Amino acid sequence: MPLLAGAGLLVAAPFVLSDFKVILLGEIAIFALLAVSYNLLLGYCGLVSFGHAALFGIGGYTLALILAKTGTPFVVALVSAPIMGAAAALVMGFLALRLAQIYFALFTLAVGQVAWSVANKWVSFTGGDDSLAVTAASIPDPISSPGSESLYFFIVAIVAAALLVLYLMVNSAFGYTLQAMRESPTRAEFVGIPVRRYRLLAFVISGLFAGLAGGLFAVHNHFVHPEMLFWLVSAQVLLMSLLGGVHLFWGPALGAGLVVYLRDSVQGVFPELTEKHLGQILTLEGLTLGAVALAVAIFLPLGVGGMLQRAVRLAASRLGARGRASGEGPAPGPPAFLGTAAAEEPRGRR
Amino acid sequence: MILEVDDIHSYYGLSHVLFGISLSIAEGEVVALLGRNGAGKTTTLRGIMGLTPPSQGSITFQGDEIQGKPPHAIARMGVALVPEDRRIFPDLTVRENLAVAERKPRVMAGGWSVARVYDLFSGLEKLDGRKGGHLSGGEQQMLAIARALMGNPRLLLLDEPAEGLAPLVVRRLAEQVRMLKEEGMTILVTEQNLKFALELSDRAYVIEKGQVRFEGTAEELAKNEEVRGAYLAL
Amino acid sequence: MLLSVSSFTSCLSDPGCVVFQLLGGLSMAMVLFLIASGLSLIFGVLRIVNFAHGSMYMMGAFTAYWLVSRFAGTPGHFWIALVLAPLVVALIGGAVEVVLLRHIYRRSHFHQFLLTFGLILIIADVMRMSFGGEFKSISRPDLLSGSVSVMGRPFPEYNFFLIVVALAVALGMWLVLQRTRLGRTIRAAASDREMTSALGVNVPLLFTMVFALGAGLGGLAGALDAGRGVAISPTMDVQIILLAFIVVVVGGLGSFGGSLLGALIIAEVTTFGILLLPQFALAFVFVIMAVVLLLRPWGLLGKPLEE
Ligand SMILES: Nc1ncnc2c1ncn2[C@@H]1O[C@H](COP(=O)(O)OP(=O)(O)OP(=O)(O)O)[C@@H](O)[C@H]1O
Ligand SMILES: [Mg+2]
Repeated sequence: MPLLAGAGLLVAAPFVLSDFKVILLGEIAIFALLAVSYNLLLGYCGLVSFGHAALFGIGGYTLALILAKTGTPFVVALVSAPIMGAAAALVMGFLALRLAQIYFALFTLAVGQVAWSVANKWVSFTGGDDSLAVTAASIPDPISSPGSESLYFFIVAIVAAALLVLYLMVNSAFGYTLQAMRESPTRAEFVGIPVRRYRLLAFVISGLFAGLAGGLFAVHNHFVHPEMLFWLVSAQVLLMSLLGGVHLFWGPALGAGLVVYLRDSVQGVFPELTEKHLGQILTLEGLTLGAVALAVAIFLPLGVGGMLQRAVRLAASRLGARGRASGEGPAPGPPAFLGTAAAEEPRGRR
Repeated sequence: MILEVDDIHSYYGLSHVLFGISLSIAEGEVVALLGRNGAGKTTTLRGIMGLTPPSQGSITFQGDEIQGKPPHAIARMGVALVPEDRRIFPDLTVRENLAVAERKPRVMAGGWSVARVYDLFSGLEKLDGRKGGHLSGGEQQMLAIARALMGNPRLLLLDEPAEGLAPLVVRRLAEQVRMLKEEGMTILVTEQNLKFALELSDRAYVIEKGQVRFEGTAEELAKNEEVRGAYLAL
Repeated sequence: MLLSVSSFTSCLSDPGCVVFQLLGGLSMAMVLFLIASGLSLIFGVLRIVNFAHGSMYMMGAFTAYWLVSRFAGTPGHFWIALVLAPLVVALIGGAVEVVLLRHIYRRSHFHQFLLTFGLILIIADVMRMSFGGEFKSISRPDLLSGSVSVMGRPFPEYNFFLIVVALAVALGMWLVLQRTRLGRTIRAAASDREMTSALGVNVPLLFTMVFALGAGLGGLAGALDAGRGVAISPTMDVQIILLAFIVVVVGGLGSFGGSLLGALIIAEVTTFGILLLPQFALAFVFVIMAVVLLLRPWGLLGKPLEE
């Protein structure tokens, strides 16, 4: 039911909202996909990557470069974006997955920054800091104009299909195996699960959808810029995921919606599309997003999604309690990989 | 009573480990806390030290409530822990390990110094400059006790001091603990094995699954086949 | 085009150029060392990867700028700024530890990253609001405004001063860590904080002090760099933090000597790399970082982390 209502709202949105709001919704959809793809690593594998922005940017640049430099049809360019994202993820993941925890994070940071440097400095190829335009002429007519209903439906339909695929994936044996490995990689290894191969597959799928999100971003915004690859964008996706709740499939999408919406509303008016660089994340909204990040880290380890989930459970148990004699069992605590609450003291390191 | 533990309950995360442990120790006594693997001995000692604070119950030390105080405050009041796995700082030398724990001596107490602990643990002196990580198990155990003494404690918590040591080393350790006892040190020592503990202690508590199952003098426990059979490794 | 072999080889064949470049690299290394040693110290003791460490450097530079403009008339205003700026940053760092960091030591490293990321955003915005977004700079103190001739080339006196100060700080830090009670306690807490607290050390207070000290080192680097004439802006944080990460990774996270070695390597590679690959010197040092992580994740002088 709520799903249907949501779908109805999404369909109705472009007919009632202004162009600016429609563009904002399209952007939310793209970042929702980016964040959910990120969460395949973060929430399902327990790995923090700072290279996700690079995969996103590689997807965007793939599409933009193909359209700008060759006469290839649009569809081919669009399909190439996720493929290149996946290919880059294969390389990055193959190397990074040898490393644990913070070393993994630092390695993905380093590799991502190499990609960023190339996009930024290889000016003759990528246009460097001037950004690379995706001209309206290179995009098929119905979806070539920003803010149009058809572009909006195009983006939302692709994102919805991608999210559905991801949803089915994490609710399959594959998804359960990832979660089992997250709780204890050594135990999983012990019972014969090839942990690294599973994680590499997750990494590649994550890169595939990040690349797709990057391609859609290029189509939606009509340009790509090196800042798409900068590690701070990965950090922002980390914020989206944790804000929404990494233990929930929809959490990161919710977080993406909140972050993009916040970013937009603190800027008052939506800035001119062509002027807007992702690099601006460090300007006006820094205080707001920074405060949100601190609040999530300190008070809301399970994110807004976790909070909603608890509220729903509480309401449900209140309703259900009338029928049953005794109260509910112990509330499930946060997943172990999110760390312990303040009252619990883990044994010290040896 | 120098220490009174009253009905404490402890948890690790959601798992309930201690179910109302109570015990008391008089000044100068050596008391053994016995029980099988997983009975809750370490958790009890960690609770007293403030490392795994009990969620319920009270712990008083020399009449002051210490439950809820941070470990360093409890240590400074005169409690010292020698943990099961010794926890020597591997990168610090023997002398540095001792110096970390050094506190200003309380006015009246004799006051431990590096020289005095070297006196008691004669083997340590020649290891003075060696890194803690390069000591044998027995040497680490001596250092762990010596380090605890450097804080001039009134109450020493020894967690399975004989574990993993060769019989000869255990004998020497027992001798050293007895010397501490003669100096009037109050000691709470945990053990799985009876012999070492009963040799040293005046009284004993036996715990199982986080509850006290027996309390009495060492002789009473030595005679009580039933308790020994039910709750202790033979 | 991308590769400028000629300028590289022509410098290598001229000893004057090599020495000059080496010295330039050395002064860069010293700033990097100050930043990285703070980052590494904080990681070694608190086990927090502080992404906001670049923000400490930036605050050091801005504070120095503010103090220099504030005391513009006073003789010795530069020196006042150089001494006060790191202290101010250390105080801010201590406050950050008490108010924020303290609550997340037991959380997952995701949340720790997130918190320090949030700090980056907030501090950058506060600097932007207080000082504006455009580039600022301060001029070198009169006493050190000249240059010395190094094999026929003018080398700024200030850079010599900077090298000496940083080396003195390195020596001082080493002495404190190895020879004093505080240093001993820091080393103990770095290896086992729980045991350290059971021995009567007020570990929360120690953490505050260590974070303040680390932040102060970052602030000192910022102030020293500002005095060199570096452009001061609200984006200098994210530029420097990446270099600091590269340095600590290469040298070894948590290793003091590693910070020094890493800083030397990275600074010299960058200075000479710029001659060879003007566009991609930065990309190249990221490659070095990635390679070190793959071959020896704990760095050249670090020790493997037990998990
Ligand atoms: N860090 C921890 N997390 C979860 N459970 C724990 C932890 N430490 C101990 N436990 C559990 O608490 C119970 C009591 O453990 P404790 O270490 O106190 O036993 P013990 O009597 O000291 O055993 P041993 O003789 O093996 O040292 C055990 O069931 C153990 O599994
Ligand atoms: Mg035990």
